[in-house]
Amino acid sequence: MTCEQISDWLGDSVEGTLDAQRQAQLDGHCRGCAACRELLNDLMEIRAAAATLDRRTPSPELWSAIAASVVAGPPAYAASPLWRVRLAWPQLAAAAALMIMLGAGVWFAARGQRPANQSGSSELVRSAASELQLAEQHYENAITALEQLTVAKDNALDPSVAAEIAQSLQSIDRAIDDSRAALKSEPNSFIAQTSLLEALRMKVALLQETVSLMNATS
Amino acid sequence: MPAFEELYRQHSTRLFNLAWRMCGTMADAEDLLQEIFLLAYRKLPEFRGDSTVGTWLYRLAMNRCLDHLKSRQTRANGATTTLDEEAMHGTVRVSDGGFKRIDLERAIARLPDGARAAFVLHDVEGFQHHEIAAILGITEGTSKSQVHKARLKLRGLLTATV
Repeated sequence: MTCEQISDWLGDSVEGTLDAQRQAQLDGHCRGCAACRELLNDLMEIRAAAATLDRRTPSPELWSAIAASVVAGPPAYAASPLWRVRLAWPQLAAAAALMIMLGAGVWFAARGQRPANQSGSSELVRSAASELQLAEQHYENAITALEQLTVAKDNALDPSVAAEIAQSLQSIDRAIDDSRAALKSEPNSFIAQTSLLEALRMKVALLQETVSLMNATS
Repeated sequence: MPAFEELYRQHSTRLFNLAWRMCGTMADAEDLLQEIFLLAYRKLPEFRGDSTVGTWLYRLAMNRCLDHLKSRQTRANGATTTLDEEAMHGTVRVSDGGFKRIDLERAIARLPDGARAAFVLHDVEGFQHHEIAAILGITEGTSKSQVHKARLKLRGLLTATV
């Protein structure tokens, strides 16, 4: 056997799918050919290393963004208000901290423990509805409190920044209205629920950021 | 809709890693993952069941990744240049375990798109050649050939002196 002849078998040998007779011929060749032996070892080493490369996980927020975009309608997703706001206001970690402080974290924890495939049972549907109501109330409380703060510092921002924030808030309010309308027609829709909570969460994040800006400039 | 969420739960991590290795950055991979699932949601009614839904989803994902790469090349994006500019760690012998995982990641990023797709699907993600054939729209033999060529190319890149 020559090196050229066995080269066609290397791929199958690396994957362990070469038939026994050819594998024996290849092994025999490699015993006497250091170059082919080293090549085969290298290819096996590469395959083994590739199988153990790091695995990354997407951001936990990604599903919420996808769900919200599905509700908003696929063609509009790239320019959707939610998406723009997410990019424009990346301080969601701070908003998440605020949510936990207000108790909405309890809702997420409870919801995370609910088996996804049992959402059809009436008990769980009722439970989900009350969880949604609870979370919505927490967000609304936060929004009311933050809005009062922004009103108190009404003139603290540059007019152009204030206008941009007002525009973003209008977009989020539209998303909230749309989600509520979707929920009205489909009260058990997970997508509509997620979209509403995501929109409320973003409104809290934006308002909190607005207050921070006002504090920094006053 | 819970079924669609379940589809996301089952496949998002694998698809995310696939998009990341095909396109090079985590940010691109996240954007692509969103696009892939929104596209899947829109196209789900067209799914005819002539393959598993997983295969259909990966085919859709790979097409999106390859389109993304084509448009990036058209814009003469510097991603490949960046990788080329990054020095690897001197001369190594692969069989001595002398390369680092980061070197392998960088070398994978330098493979031609088709070979990279087949290699990542087979050696990294563990798909079988018949599955790769269905995902990439190639024959099983071509898949085997692409993966083998990719390994040979990687060996060359990993043993090269930079």
